[in-house]
Amino acid sequence: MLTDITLGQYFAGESFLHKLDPRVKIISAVVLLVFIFLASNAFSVLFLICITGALIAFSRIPFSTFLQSIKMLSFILIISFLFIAFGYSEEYTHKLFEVNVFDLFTLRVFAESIEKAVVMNIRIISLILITSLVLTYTTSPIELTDGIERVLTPLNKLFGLPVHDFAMIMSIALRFIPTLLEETDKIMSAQSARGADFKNGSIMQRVKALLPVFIPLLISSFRRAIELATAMECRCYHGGDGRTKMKRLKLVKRDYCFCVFVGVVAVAIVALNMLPDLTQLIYR
Amino acid sequence: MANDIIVFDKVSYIYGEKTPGEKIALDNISINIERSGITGIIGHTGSGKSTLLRLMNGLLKPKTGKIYLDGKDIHDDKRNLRDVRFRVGLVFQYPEYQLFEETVYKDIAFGPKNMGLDEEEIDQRVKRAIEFVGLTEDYMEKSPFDLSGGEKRRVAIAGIIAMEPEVLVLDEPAAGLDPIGREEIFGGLERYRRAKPEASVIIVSHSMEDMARYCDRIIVMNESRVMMSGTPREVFGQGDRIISSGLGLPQITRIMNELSKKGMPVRTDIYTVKEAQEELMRILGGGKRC
Repeated sequence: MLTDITLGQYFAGESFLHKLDPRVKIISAVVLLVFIFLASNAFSVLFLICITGALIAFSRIPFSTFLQSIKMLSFILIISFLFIAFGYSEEYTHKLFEVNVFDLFTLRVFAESIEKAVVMNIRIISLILITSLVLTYTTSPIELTDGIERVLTPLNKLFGLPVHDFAMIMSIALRFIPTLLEETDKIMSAQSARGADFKNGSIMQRVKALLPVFIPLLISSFRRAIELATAMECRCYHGGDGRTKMKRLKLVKRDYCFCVFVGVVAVAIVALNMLPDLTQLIYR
Repeated sequence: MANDIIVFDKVSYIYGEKTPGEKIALDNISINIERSGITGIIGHTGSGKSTLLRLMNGLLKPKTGKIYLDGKDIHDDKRNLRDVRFRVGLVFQYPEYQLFEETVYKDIAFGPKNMGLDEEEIDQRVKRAIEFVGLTEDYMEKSPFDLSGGEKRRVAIAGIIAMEPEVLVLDEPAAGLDPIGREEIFGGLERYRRAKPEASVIIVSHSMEDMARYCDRIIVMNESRVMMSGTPREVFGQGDRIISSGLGLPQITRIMNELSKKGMPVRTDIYTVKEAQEELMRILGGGKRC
């Protein structure tokens, strides 16, 4: 069923990661993202694996969830592995084997290229896992948009960007994803009850078969939007000016601890990057 | 068995199996739905009624058990599934939200067109269907989005009726309508039934009055199981069990129950006003009407 899709899923919980201030999480996620991409040799990615493992343990989210996300990435992982493993650079010296493809060209695989491919794959995996761990899995959409709003507030002060409005739009959009998925599922069922066929036929036929789903969906989205706008106005919503928060964000000890942790990770990655490549050590 | 159009044989259905949100919607249920006549399904929210309906026309596949339509297992052959949907016409809750065509005519013709009928047959069916639901042919060229709520609902129901299914299934056809709207929907069903006596109708509703008035048989669902099934008299006669499952009784049955508690020797399995009147006359005035 459509509603089975887990899109940016949030797992309610009480772990250390769940309790962190969303502002800290957003900024840490950005910093970690940069340093994950800086990790360039076997030692630093090994360190990344440890960090990812530690965060997974901290989050207390079932391990199968993570396997599921890796499974979803598998196509990208395989493609990137093949491209890098069969890629060639002047610097490569330790040839492992070569494959002759139809006498047309020869693909050579080097120890260095394999190492690079593995490093790249681990980077992609930890990138996805860490960002989803810090952000989507452990932060409710409400907290997330609240955090984004607060992080971006300087832009409002500097350039007059309507940051509050953006955040509101975003939280409403997130809020309605499950509702619309459910609605799509219902309309699809209703139209298949009238014999609409979404699975068979040519591409054109299938696109055409979706019209009876999209038109009612569009209409009901507008209806919902109007109803929601009215309901918000009835409760005197008038944008972000002078609006106070029920939950005031306040940095506590654990937030500072996490900032220090992120800093240590960043420094460690840079330091580990200075070590030579694994291939060089092996073939020395 | 030969007189049963739909048979559920030990059917179970589970939503989100093996996930944290796992929910048993139907737990090993067996029911028979008789050919012709109106069958009502009642049960409180979440008792598995809507799942039951979606299983009937093959939109969902049971986890265990079999569903027979006219003696044949509907999941026997995948290619027949579409045919099953034309034979068991399912009208969803708030069906007006599935309207999409430019005109009422085109929308009603969507089902018959998918059946691959020829233009002439489609035209006849659309006209018949529109008549059943009590709308006139002036509506045919209007946009369905310009109609009132009740009219939209009737157009959507006509869209299923036009497929002329052997079994017409309606999930709360009158939900959210005013009394006149309800009257029109049920009036349409009566017309449909008189015109097609061989067709079976299945209705899910929360209105016990409607159920008492229109149904020949009633199935009571409670916590993913069938709690009771029988004629309205058999079902509403067991007022205590109905109430204990979180449902209500028709108003007139409630009155009779109260009278009986107050010591009046009235029968408590009465579910129409006319019957109640006769019963009271019997007790009070020796059978003569005033």
